Amino acid sequence: MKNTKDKIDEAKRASGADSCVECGRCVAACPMAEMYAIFSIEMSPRGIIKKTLMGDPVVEDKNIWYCTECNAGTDTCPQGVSCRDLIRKLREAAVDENLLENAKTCKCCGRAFVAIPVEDFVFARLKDEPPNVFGVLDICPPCRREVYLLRNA
Amino acid sequence: MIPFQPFYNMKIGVVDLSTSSAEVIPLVQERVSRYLGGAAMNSAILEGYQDDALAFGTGPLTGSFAPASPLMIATFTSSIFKRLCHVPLMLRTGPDMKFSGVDFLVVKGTAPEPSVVHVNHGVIRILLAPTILNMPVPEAIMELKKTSPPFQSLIITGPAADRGSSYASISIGTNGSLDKAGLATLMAAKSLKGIMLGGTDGLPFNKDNPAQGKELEKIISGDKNFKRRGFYAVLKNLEGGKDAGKYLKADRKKDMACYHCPSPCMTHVRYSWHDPRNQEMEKSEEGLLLLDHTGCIALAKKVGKNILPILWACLHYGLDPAGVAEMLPEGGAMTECINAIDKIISDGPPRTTDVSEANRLCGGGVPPIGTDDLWEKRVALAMVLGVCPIFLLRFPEITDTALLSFISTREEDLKTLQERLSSAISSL
Amino acid sequence: MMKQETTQKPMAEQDFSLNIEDLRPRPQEKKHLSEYFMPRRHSFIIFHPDRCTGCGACEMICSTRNVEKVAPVSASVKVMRDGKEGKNFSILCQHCRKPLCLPACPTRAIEKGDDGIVRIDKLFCTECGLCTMACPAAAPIKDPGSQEIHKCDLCEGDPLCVKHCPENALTLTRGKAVRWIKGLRWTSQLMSFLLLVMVFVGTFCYFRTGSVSFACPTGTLQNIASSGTIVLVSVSSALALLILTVVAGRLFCGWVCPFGFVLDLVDKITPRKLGWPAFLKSRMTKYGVLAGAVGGSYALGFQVFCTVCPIGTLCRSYGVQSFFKSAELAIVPALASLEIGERRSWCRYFCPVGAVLGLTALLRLIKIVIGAKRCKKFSCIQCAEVCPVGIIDADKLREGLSPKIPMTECIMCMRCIDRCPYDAAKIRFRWQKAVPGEGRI
Repeated sequence: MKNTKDKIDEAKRASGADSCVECGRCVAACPMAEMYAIFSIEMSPRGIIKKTLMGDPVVEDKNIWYCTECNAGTDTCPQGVSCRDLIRKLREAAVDENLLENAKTCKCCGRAFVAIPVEDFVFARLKDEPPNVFGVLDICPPCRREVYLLRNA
Repeated sequence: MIPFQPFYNMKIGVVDLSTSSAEVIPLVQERVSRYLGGAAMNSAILEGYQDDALAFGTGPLTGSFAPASPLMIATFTSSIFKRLCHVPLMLRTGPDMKFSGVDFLVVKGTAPEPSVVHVNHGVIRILLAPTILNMPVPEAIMELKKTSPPFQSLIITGPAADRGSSYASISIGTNGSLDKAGLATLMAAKSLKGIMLGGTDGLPFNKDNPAQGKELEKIISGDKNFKRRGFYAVLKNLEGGKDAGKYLKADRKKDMACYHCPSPCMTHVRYSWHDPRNQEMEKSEEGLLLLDHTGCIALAKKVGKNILPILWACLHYGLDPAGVAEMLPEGGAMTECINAIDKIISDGPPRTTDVSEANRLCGGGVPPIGTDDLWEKRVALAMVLGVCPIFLLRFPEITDTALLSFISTREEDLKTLQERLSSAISSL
Repeated sequence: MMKQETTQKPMAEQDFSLNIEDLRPRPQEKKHLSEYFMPRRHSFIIFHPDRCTGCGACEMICSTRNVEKVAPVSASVKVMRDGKEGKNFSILCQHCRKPLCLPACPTRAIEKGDDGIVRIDKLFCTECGLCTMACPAAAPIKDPGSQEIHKCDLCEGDPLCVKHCPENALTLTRGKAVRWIKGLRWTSQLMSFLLLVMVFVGTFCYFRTGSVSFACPTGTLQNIASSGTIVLVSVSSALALLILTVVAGRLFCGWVCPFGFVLDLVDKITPRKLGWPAFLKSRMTKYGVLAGAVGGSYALGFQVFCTVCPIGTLCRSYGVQSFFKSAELAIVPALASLEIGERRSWCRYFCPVGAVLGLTALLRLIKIVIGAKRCKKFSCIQCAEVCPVGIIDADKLREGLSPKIPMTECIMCMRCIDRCPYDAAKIRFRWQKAVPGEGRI
């Protein structure tokens, strides 16, 4: 079992975070700005990368759980840094350390499939829908397809 | 050399279980021109390897828009037939292999520990799987789903093979297969528990193919055999099939088809049965896919109305129903049959099957539909081109020219392809 | 020279940020007048699970459109197969009436076009996958290789999967005309109103003696109770309406009743319903009113209810008005005002004519069924919303169970059948067991 520092180092290597020049293009492309009223530099891709590079405690930070993993930041990065891969690895490290309060697990298969701030965003957008719709959001998309199959076939 | 481009990745995967290494080598165009693919190519590839190597291959039409194109062919030296044998594997195995980046897969050597081979994106990995040894097939699959990288198709051996029984048969997922030639026994001897195909890539295709496929479907929809679909209908036309069909009573039936097949020959049945060994338990509902016509006929002759639970047991333990039928007592009661199966798994005698030339072509799995001389031709055609042999037997109006035109529609190509096809078939 | 007044704040304090409203404003949902006469009929694809054999041809051909290769995982349709139950289902976007993916997309890349097709604009899509998260069927599919989101766009109106399915398990529903029954029904209601109220004045009731008429069954009952005699002619004409009810349920209530027409008109101008307290909402009350009417007629010797019946009042209202007659007319708006509570409150809880027809409807020949398997219960439930007597159990539909429609309450307005875009609500004979969507498997 690698310890957290090794995992973070590997995350930096895999995502190429060391090449970040702080241009901020990822922040401009990031959909989080539209999703969260509290969007701040702390949760932006640039902010997470900076924090990781500075060696600050980032695995325990709630801010790594706002990302939707859409990869828009990676697409626009001139240095080819993959903010998504970094966030993924950081989240995996957090899950390994049992810091699960920000990850939603699927009721059917038990896998963590969405970050809770992301899910809250979806809930907020769907607030006018009848309540049973939210029951469906408790299970991950692959399991949801299985449920749909068994109910409707 | 013909510059046509059949539906291939042009890659061969070579796995050496003894050294736990795998590599992907390119498939040379010249070879494709000469052997076309399928069983003929498998044999050609295996010439370079020792007798215990086994090859999984696809045909030039596998996975394409040709009707019923699910075929993967396993070629190996059968311990039952004592010579080179080809076994057709249907459902989605062939296309999923192509969509995992390789067209042919050669496995040689013996693994030091029970392993599984995983193929995806043109990368082959050998993974250790000691936990699924001796596990019944459904549970082994659940275990693999949890611990391995994701996969679309899976070929797996059951506990019968692990115990060395020569009645073992591989299972495609939980559905069984037409393996009556001992593929599972060979795989188990190599400690190869299964092959997982990731199947997440794709292949460029000939733009005329979808329309050609629809044309062929229109042609066969005029055939009277088209309406006779599903397992039971195909079964009725076989010798002994009517009686077998009587015993296969099920609560609910649903016809299932393989990859891109317009006329299903398999049926999923749901039935309930009472396990006589466990008096307190309620009737349990089970579901299984009927796909082995010859196996069911053989079983029905021996066990009559107990056939469905016995079939389920065969799937569960990875056994060949036809082979099991040889060992069961005539008209046996359920308990006797179950005991017999337990005995087969634990210390079954080696199997002696009646070897005939025709069976070598398909391992004895393809039912005898149609006349004898036509049978050999059609099955050979199917095994080379990579389309389902049962489909070609049921619909003789699909000519080889029609199938070859999926590769190329040019006159000069077709002529050369015809020649190659004939030589490929005769080399089988 | 005028000094240019600068009322702007210094640069550093100005708010230059644009938000999504400025960049991609959403058009307001407006209902055009034409919607009422020629409602839009949007196509979408229906899947028939009983026909599907799991061959995967739909995935193959769809992927050729998405990625120019045969790659079933990159299709916009996913074939789900269950080995144990032997079931197949192709999941693809249903182009819902109110798509859930639309509000969930953070960049507003999803729009429902005028042709009804829900599209993802790849220019704005960041492949975040929140649309898949919000969709109850998880219909947008993430390509495992390129990470793109593939979602069905009906191939811009000519879907390939429909053409290539060898079993015809996928069908494009262009054929079902939605909202055509409404035109017929309003016409019928209008004509009945004109005929019964203005032309054949008073012929509906049995409050006018002497003339041959349709006899209202309730009026006939009260007449028999009050006078103790049975006039064969009136009973046989009352039978006409009863026979209609035996065949077609309470069709009278939905298509003929002039007071029902008035109530429907009032409905249109009172869209906000306040609801009734629970103790008032018993469907049995109308049978009580019926019993009271008949009993009262017997006791008092005249047709008690007919004096205050709103239907009767309407039918007898045309012509020379006296003071009392005008005062009598006040019954109609008074009872129509019940509409502010619930739609057709009068019909649900109080009408004795409805009660008699309801009892007769116990012998009905036909019924309305709603096939939950065909119904796209997550985002539709239009039938339950539009039913004027509120007898469709939306919760049961959401569970996936077909609700039992009580035909003694149903006024056969057929709004549910009219509205259902998925052909799940249908009329069946009472002995038919099969429900839409649950065919032979």
